[in-house]
Amino acid sequence: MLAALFFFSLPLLSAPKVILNDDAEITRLDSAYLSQIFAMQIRKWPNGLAIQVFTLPSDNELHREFVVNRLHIQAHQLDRIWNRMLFTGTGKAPAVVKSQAEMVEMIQSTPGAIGYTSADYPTGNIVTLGDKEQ
Amino acid sequence: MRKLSSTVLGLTAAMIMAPATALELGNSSELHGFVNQSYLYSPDNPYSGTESLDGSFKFRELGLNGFTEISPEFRLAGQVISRQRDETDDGNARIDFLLADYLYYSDMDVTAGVRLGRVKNNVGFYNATRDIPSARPGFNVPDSIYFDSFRDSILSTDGINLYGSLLFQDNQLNWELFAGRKSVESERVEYYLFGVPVGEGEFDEIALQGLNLNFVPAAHRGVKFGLSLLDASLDLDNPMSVTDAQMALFIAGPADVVANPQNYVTGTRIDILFAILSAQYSYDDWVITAEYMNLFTDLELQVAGVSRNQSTTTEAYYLQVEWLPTVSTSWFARYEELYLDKSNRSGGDMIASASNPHRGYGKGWSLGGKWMFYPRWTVTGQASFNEGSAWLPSYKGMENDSIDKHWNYYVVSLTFQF
Repeated sequence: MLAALFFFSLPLLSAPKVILNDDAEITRLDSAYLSQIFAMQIRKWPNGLAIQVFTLPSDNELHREFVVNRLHIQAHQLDRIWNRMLFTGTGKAPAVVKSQAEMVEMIQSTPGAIGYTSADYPTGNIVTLGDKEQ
Repeated sequence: MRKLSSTVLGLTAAMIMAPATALELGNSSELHGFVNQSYLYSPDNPYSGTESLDGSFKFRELGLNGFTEISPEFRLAGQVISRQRDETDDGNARIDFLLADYLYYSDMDVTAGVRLGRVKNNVGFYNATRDIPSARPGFNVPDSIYFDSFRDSILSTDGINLYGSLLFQDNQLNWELFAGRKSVESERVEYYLFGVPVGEGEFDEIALQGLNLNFVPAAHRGVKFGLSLLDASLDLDNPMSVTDAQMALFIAGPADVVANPQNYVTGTRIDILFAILSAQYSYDDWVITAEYMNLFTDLELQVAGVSRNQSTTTEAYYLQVEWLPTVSTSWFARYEELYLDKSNRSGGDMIASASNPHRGYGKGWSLGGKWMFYPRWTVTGQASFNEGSAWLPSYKGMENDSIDKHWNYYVVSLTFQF
């Protein structure tokens, strides 16, 4: 029984985790909302603060893993959505960071920031999705 | 215009010379753009002009855009595009979009906002990005649904655009409503209607209103459904007077009205309703896209004072499969058909002409690929194999060239985007 539980929870545990800046006061992050945020379709948090999205480069393995396992779409779908918004004047692409270390630094220092790291990457006392997910 | 064009060219050249990682102007403004140069060889039929028969480099696109975010709710964006396609587009710079965007409501389930100015029209999956090389599967967006006759007329609207999204039980619905006007290039409409320019009068402006819905179900986020409705109407301004037309006909002889009705047009009103159903399925490295269009045209035509009404339904569809084996490469294959008059699939009397008897329909295969060989640099190749000339772009003087039933074209493009 325990072994079965462990087996089932393993993929979720190893999936990249969503990390948030303290000022992003949210009560729920279901997967449609999360994917709309990373698709840059939602511009502000419920408290009115601008959402600042950070990602790793599109060809980064962790980015692709995050998009598939957390947003349930493909990385090329996101690339196309961002490109479309940029060249129709309806939005923009997220800020790209080079490493997980930079990601953590930006999330901590940018009000309203959201990003991700691998499940086992040390993020200290940063808010992670698990803490706020309902 | 020429000055603006050279400014765009100069700025774009400057970007290429100094490829910064991102052109961010402060925290909340960015500048982006692209340059695309194509070589097109169309040995069977003149594509956008006769030069392509021997291969032509006169296919070039430049774009420069910027936005600034004043607050999370309020942003401004604009884009200038120059597009040269031999005889069909002269390369003059024009404002592609220029808009103010205000998000007036946003919570976790609902967002709604308004855009004012010139806004690109979301009609089908590709209309809004048909001039953006990086957003097209190959050299062109699908020829069948996005054929050239209405490209300028429905590309964007000068007016109001309401937009928003709804999230319910993990389903996503995005919607857009728009209304306004757009100036049109008269000649293109005249070629669509008559195959030749009309004797007197111009189509100046088109009135547009539309609805676009996109739905992504919770069950599978790789699936997207779209519905687009667009209503457009336009009138022929300053046509020939009935007296003049009757006088001209008296001189030429009554048989000429049958042979050359375009010379006796005394009034035209067109109402067009575009309805497009779209579906896309993305799974792993594959993207499958299909769209179906019904275009209802209600034409009220007055020739030498005699009115007649004609309703036509144009039908088009395509199926496209894209394969993205690596981050920097993609391949596609597409099959498509277009019938300008659905009830007369080989083309009616109004549509076909002696030099271009197969203008009523198009069927074709396209195969192609893209390779980003260096960051920001992409090479695109496409080969298209067609029957019927419905989507062969019309150009001035086309009526004097004889058009073949079977025709292929081949394109290689080099694109730089920042």
